[in-house]
Amino acid sequence: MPMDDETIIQLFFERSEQAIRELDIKYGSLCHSLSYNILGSREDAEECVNDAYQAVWSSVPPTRPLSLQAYLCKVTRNVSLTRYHHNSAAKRNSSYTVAMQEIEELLSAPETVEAAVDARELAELIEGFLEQLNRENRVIFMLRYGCSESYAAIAKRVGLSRKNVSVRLTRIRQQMKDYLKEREVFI
Amino acid sequence: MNHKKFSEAMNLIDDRFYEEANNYTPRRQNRAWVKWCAAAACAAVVFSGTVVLAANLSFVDKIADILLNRNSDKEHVVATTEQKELYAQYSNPLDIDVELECGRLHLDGICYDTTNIFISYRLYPNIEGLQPGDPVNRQPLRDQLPKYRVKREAEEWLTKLPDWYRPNECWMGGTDFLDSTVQEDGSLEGYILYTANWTYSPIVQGDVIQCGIEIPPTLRLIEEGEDTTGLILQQSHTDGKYYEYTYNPPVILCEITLDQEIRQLELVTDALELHETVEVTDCSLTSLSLRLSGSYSFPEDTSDSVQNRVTNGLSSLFNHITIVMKDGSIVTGDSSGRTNMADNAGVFQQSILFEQPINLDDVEWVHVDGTGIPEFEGIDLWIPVHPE
Repeated sequence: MPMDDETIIQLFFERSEQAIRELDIKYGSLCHSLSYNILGSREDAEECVNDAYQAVWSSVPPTRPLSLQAYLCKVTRNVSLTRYHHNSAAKRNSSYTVAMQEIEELLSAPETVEAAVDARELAELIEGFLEQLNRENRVIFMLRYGCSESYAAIAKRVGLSRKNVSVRLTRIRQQMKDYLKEREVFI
Repeated sequence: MNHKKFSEAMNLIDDRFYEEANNYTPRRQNRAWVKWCAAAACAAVVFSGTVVLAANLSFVDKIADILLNRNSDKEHVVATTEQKELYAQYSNPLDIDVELECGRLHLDGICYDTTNIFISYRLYPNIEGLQPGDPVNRQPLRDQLPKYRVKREAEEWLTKLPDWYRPNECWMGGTDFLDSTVQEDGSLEGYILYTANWTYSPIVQGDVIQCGIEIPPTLRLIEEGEDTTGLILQQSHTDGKYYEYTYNPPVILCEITLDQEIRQLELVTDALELHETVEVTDCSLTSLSLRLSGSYSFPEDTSDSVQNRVTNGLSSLFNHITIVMKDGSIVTGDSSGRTNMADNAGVFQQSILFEQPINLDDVEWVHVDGTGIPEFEGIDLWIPVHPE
């Protein structure tokens, strides 16, 4: 039975290495999957997950995450993206690559407009957009563009067909485009 | 906007969105049951050349024994040269995919008979002596197929359509027959070419693509929740007559008589262990996507490195893909967009781009061979394409 998050965090605060083991037991497969979706390499994913554990070890304490799972996901994602961008040999056929191509194709805009919005503002806008979606579509969006999962994996997670996921994502992207356009953010 | 900024922003959004996604549980837990329910409720309608098979329990039991034995061995595919030769010697190279679900299901006051057996035959040519690019012909294989007789056993009528039922979207399990003839007692006898449990869409949302074929724009799609009472649900031509099925379609339970079924399945099971499963998942004008899956066992002396490359790096396989058109012409394409399926090593999707438009209707075979791994150079698959 995996340990509850609060206890794991407490282990980090006590500087017990057991915390890393418990973290791996509880969220290891999730982190590996997330990292692998970005990098497309199990070896790289393995290293990145270990780096993520190390990063959590270094940041907790003083940080006390409200949600250990989400915190770990973000750290893993960050570490994996750093590796992705710096790894010149990275394969360009990972789920992350494809997911980002989808976004880029839809939201390409002149640099001058792009410069007007920073990542924090964009994050807030995306949050506002996500609030408008129904729960299922929100989850599909997050799994695709937050966790870089493949259509097939998402379909399995949400209990829909792969094609249905594909169609929904197409619509969600279009909705997001309209949403941002209404706010004169892009395009 | 570039994807880096979007990616950065995605990392800054509130944790609760990630939590929600990671902890999401779909509402419909019994999707598999619903699928079978859909098949049982809808598929038994006889369309042109399409009959759904419902077998009696004793037959189900026999098949189940075979399937259970087969499924107990998770490692089917061994593609060594020696076994490749064994496959080549196999005189009746059929691929068969059997799914079954037994019992009765009550849903919304409707009793669905789910004692159906769905058998999917895919015909492979005898590859002995066959070279890539050789014209292939399915005709000789007809004689190797067992003849099946399907007989109508009973007839029921639905009192209510399931909520998820949508015209032209809830595709049903069915069997395509070759050279079928209606017998004096009303049964149908013919060679089974293809029996499958179709995918279906419980929620219709616009441009749904079914089996790689886009729904003609002349078909009206029904929005979720729309009342379908009185609408034409299906149209078909049977025995020269035109039928329209509307609300309250009949459900016809059929009985199938199989003369040599057990022996046949055992033989085919042997062959199954020697090749992978490959299916066309999508097709557009200039690209064809294949989903390839297989599990592997290795000789004892196979190094870890090779095993890892095969199980984790399947995307490096199948560098050469050839499309054999029905007119015998050969089309080659460049591989692109290969995607490993996350957390499911051994399954990946591969897309092939072609310079010229291709029409799936005109494709007879997809031929894949050539790997970057010496131990698996022997892989040489002929995949029949059955556009629907």
